[in-house]
Amino acid sequence: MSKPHLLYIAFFFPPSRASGVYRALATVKAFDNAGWDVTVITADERFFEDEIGSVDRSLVDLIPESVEVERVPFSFRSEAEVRDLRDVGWFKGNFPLLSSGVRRRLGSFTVALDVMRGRSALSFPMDDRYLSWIDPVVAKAKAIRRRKAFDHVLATGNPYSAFEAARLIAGIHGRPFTVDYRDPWAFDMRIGSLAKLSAPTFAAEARIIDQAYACIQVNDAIASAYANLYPEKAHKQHIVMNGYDEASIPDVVGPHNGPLTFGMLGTVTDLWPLGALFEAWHSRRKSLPPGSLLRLGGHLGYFPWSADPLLATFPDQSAGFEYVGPVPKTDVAGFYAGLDVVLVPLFGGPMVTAGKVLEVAALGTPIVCIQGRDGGARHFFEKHPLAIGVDPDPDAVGAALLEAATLARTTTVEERVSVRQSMAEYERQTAMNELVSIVAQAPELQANTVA
Amino acid sequence: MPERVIGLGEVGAHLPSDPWVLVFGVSREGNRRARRATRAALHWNMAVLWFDGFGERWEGGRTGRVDLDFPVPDGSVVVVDYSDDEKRHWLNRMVEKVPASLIGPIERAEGIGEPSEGRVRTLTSIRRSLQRALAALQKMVVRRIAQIFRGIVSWRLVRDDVELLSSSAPPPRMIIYGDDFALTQGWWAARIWTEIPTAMEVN
Repeated sequence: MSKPHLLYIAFFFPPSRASGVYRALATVKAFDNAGWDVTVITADERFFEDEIGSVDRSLVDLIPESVEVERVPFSFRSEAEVRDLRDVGWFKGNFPLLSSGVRRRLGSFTVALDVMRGRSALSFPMDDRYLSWIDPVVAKAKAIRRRKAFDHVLATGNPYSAFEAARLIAGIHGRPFTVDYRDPWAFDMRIGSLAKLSAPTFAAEARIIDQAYACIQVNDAIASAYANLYPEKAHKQHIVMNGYDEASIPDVVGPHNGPLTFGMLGTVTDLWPLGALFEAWHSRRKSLPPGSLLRLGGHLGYFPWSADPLLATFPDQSAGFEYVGPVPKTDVAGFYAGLDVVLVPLFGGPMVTAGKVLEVAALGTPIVCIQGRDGGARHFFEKHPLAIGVDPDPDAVGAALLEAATLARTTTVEERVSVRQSMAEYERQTAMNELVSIVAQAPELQANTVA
Repeated sequence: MPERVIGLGEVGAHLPSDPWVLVFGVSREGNRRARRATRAALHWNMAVLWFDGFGERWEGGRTGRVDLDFPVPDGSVVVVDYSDDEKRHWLNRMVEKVPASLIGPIERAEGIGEPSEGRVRTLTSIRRSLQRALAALQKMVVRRIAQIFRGIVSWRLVRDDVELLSSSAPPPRMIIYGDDFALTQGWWAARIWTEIPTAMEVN
């Protein structure tokens, strides 16, 4: 019996360091471990490195060796800007003006041809900046299919163009497809209500959900919202939470009496409620043991140009603050080992449960979660014995810092170990096995496997 | 390496050392992009070898220094000005010569034999009509043909120097083509240095 073959469409995949990459990596590992052949279609490295400058080379080493990775070029730039002259044909290379003139005179015919060939935004009437990626991905899938048939198409979004590509590929090749929502498409996570999308975009999502075998959501709030939005397709909504990586969790250590280190790790964005945290730190620092530190690790935004505005908001070193820069995946455990209290500043409402939340929850270290009262992470931490949830208000955060400091000094090793054990179900691969189970239940796959 | 403007065939005495960027610019727009590319390359401490077909009026001509309106470290920029060579190319001479060669006989005919008012008026009328027709022909056809072939002409002019660079200098870090005409030069250069990135601008 041959191994089932998964075609996985993940725009962001190593060396990209986008936040969704860890879930994508865990997904391919889970399918690989479950005995699937996995082929990933992702964007080209040039886009990640040169165009958006958002890469972490160490992540490439985490791709299982047996997983095939096919890269489909993408660019936000116009064709003329990005074109490698080696890709330019002889005619255009030697007679560029004549070539442009001919193309211009063909005008509307060319536009129509592009629409038909899927190379125009008009080909896919939906709001997404990655539409031009769809057609090359469909073509790549055809090429892969010629080499080896695939049994299931799984796409992760955003970008949601990956979903549309999966729908088209599944339709062309008669295979089922599943969409893995890392974020909700139809909803604005910050406010939890419908996002401002065009009617064709809602129609595109409805079409995708209608034709998909299953829709995977990262938390109950998003799954419920989708079930309510598409009640006839509520049975397709499944929850596969993000998980933590065992390698990111350091050994448990007991409390100590020295200065305390409060810290946070993640890709910092201007949506984080850092203002309230910094104000609280300034006002309550003198109540903490002398030499206590506030430490921040991680990339500043997802793009190089995001860094400077964020840096300008940080306190200076004299305020007991240190920014240690990006922390490679392999050093995450070491970073957490140096913290006595972990801070989780988050924006948004019930739909926002960042992947980091589960990682932090599994540490067995006191936590201060700074998020609105109805925040998804706040809700998750309610049952966590070492977590303190507070609104992004400087006074509330200040009080929580002191409370967490007390917890850091009084929580025993046994209590920390107990917390860690209670979080074992959220280990990422354990969580992702659920995704494999859902896909493996597809009737077509079962029929093929039996045959 | 002295910093200067040189002509075709003089590159051998001004070979760039690593790291350097190869820049092509033919039109006014290409010249502007070439300037920006040069500034960017200098920012990254790279030397520049710039084939300039636009005919920038470099200070002091070919023996003068490169005046780029921004600081240029000594020896970091060499401009190969081939604009005069391009003007002398037969295709460009044709643009000027075709009208002259056709009008000339009529002008001469006006001076032959006994001048009569009617004959002069007729010949003048023919000459003016022909001049208008030739002007239109020149604009509609000859200049367009020259434009169509300008990229290839430009490449043919610089080809020997570029090939000398490929055999005698370390490979450039980037090939910049500033306009559509220079695209042809870049296109051919990209086939000489097959691994070197090509771009219209330096980001």
